[in-house]
Amino acid sequence: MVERASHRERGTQRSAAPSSTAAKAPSSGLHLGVIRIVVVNPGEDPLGGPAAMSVETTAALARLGDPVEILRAQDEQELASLTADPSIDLVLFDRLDTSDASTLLGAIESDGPPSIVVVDGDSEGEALAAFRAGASDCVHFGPEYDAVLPVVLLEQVQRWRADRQRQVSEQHIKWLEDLYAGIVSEMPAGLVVVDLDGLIVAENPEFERLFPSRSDAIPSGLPGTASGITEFLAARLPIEIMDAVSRAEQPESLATDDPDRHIHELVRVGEDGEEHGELRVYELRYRRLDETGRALIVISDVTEAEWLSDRLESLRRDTRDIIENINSALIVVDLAGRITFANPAAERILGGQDGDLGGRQIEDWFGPAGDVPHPIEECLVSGARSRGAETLLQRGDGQWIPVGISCSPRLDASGQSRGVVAVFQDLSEIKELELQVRQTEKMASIGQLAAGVAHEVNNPMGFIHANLHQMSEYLTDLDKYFEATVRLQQAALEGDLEVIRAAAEDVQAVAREIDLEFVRSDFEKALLESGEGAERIRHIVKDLRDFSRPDMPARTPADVNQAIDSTANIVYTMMKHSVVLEKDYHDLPKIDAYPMQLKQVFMNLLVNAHQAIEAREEREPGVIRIETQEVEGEILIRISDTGVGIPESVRSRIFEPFFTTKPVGAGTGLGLSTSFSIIERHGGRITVESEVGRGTVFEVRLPTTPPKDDAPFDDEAADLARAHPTTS
Amino acid sequence: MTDRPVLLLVDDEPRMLSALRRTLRREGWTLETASNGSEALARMAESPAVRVVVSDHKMPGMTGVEFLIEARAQHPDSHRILLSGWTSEIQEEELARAGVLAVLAKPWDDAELKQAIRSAMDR
Repeated sequence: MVERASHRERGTQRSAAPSSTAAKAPSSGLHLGVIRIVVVNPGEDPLGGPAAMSVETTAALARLGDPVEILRAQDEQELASLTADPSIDLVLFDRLDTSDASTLLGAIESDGPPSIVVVDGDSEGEALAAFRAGASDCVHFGPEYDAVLPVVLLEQVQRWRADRQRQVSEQHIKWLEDLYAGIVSEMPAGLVVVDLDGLIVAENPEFERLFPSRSDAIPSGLPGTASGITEFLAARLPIEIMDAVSRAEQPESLATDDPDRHIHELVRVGEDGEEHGELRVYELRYRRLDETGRALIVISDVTEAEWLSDRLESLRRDTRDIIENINSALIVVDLAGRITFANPAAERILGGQDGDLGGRQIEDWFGPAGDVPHPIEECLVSGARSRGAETLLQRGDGQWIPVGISCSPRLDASGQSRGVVAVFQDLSEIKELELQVRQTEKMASIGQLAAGVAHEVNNPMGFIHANLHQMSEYLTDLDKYFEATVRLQQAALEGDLEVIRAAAEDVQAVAREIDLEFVRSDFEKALLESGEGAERIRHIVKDLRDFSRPDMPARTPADVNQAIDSTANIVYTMMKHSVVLEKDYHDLPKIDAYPMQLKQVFMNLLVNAHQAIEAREEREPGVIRIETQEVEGEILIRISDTGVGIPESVRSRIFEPFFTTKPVGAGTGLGLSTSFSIIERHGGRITVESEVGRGTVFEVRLPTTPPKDDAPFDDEAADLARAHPTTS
Repeated sequence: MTDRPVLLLVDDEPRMLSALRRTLRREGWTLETASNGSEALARMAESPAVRVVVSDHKMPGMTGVEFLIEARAQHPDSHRILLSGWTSEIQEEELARAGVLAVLAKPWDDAELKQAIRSAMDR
């Protein structure tokens, strides 16, 4: 409409018709708005454009009463292009030569705008020729010209516009019909129209697919082609849907304030079996179409959608239940490091409630990056998952606690990171327990050691004890002999030969009785052997003292050969029956270390080697070989055994805390894990090679210049609080 | 001399055997020694028959209990006593299989040891 208004303005300006003449228009009472006329007249203006319209034509057009827009054409081409525009209302040929008019009339398409040919005087021939060439009407350029032309022109324009309007309407109706048919036919829902009696008036293919006709003789069809359908709806629909339709047809079920008077509900058909295939869910729409009682029923099979939506809902519920109830804390962090979600367990640790953690920065709890490992920050930066990392977190009450944390990036559909999901657990209790078990482990190995030492002391003590008892008996025997010799001595002094002889015989008798020769020599032997036993005990005590000298609170220069040798000597006491110990020590530089901790490692390795040998079927002694040497700035300690070996399947796990292959109660599973920590604290490393049935080699490497950062002496709590590495 | 009953002492520690001989030399038994289980079994296969065996437990090769189980199987008439400083790790079930009359701990009490051997001899 706005466009039309602008035409009018332009048209009014271009129009030669003064507005004052409009009042004299032969008004039909009908206003046509701007009339667009192409005027063709002979001659050219001096610049080659069309010559001006005649005064008479200009005056005639001014009388139309409606604004006029004049367009000009000089040849067939211009005319053809202008008349292709459906908004052109008329072409006016103003007194052209007959042949020119005929030619130009040919340029107008048959369904183009009407044309009026103005002919001179009463020339019937010219008018006839014009009609033959396709002119819609002819007007004589006579005395009544300025009155006749507007009348003829308006009549032509009105007729043309009415024709065009009808054409457009017909096209529109056709288009709507096609659209409607297309929608009805292609719609993924069953459509059916029924009358008051429930007779099917029309249905679409989807309805036929959902609820096939019972009789092949009855054709289905689109609206308008539904002739011959005599089926009743009840014969086609399952009883559950029919019930719903019947309910819908009750007048009271149609809301009176609903202008469309329709009903929309879900109907479940069949039994709810294990497979969702047995139960089908239909979406039913019912709409009363008109007062005759015809109704449109739309039925869609939404079983899959319902099933999916049920699944989605239960999945959502399950996920929420899990997240709300797990003991692990779970938080979601956005790219800016803000918490966007925290479950109750996370709120308990972080010190928030009812979602008031949202929007706070994770830096509030996790130490500033750099001081402690920061898995969430690392995950935000790198987008890489991490599992089971350990770090420290400042709880809501200000206390720092160890936590185990796993992070996964949250990716959108295009793989871009949207943040991080982090799951973490308070490890305080676990660490406390681990500490206790490590203490138990220490006590257990001390107990084992004590038992071995006790046995080793017991043996010499056993025979020393027996010998002492025996020697005191020998002493009693020798006393008897001594008394007899004293009596002989006295007799000799008295000089009575008979008495002397008798005393001498008595000495002989006593010597025989007590087996003097044996007693004398065995006394000496018993003394020697007891001395030897005492010496052995002295050695054991010295070994024990060498072994157990407590560490200083800082690293001290340590002789690794001495450390391993004193350990081997102690441990050997309890394994000497089944093990041949080979030692191959080379000169080593002293290193700054905690010797007692190193001895703990060596003891663990030697005890394991011994147990591996004991686990064999053979009774022949096994061999444990200890080698030390300096290799490329490192001290290498190699402890090899000929025991049962470690199966490939568990080799990667032997340094894990609590991993043990021994029966319940026989091992804590912390021996090698503790050893690993101790060697790591010394800046070294520990590796294993093993072959089942052949034996195992453990290698410990210690740098000759240990790391500067000094771990607190024997402070396992501090040790455990650090991230705890495991081999994998 | 020949009709004195034979007492076999088994220990891998020579000083221990020496001390045992010393202690038991006047009890009227023929004392013989072996330093491990297989040596002791070899002696028991010979005559005169060994009446009582006193054995240590922790020894190279077979343990004392293993030896005594074997000794009982081969010589049901012999009687067996275990003398060890390492008794806690021996299982009751094994002791029963070995038919051990007494388990004595090192260091032993002389009178107790002699009494145990004596009552074994008298069975």
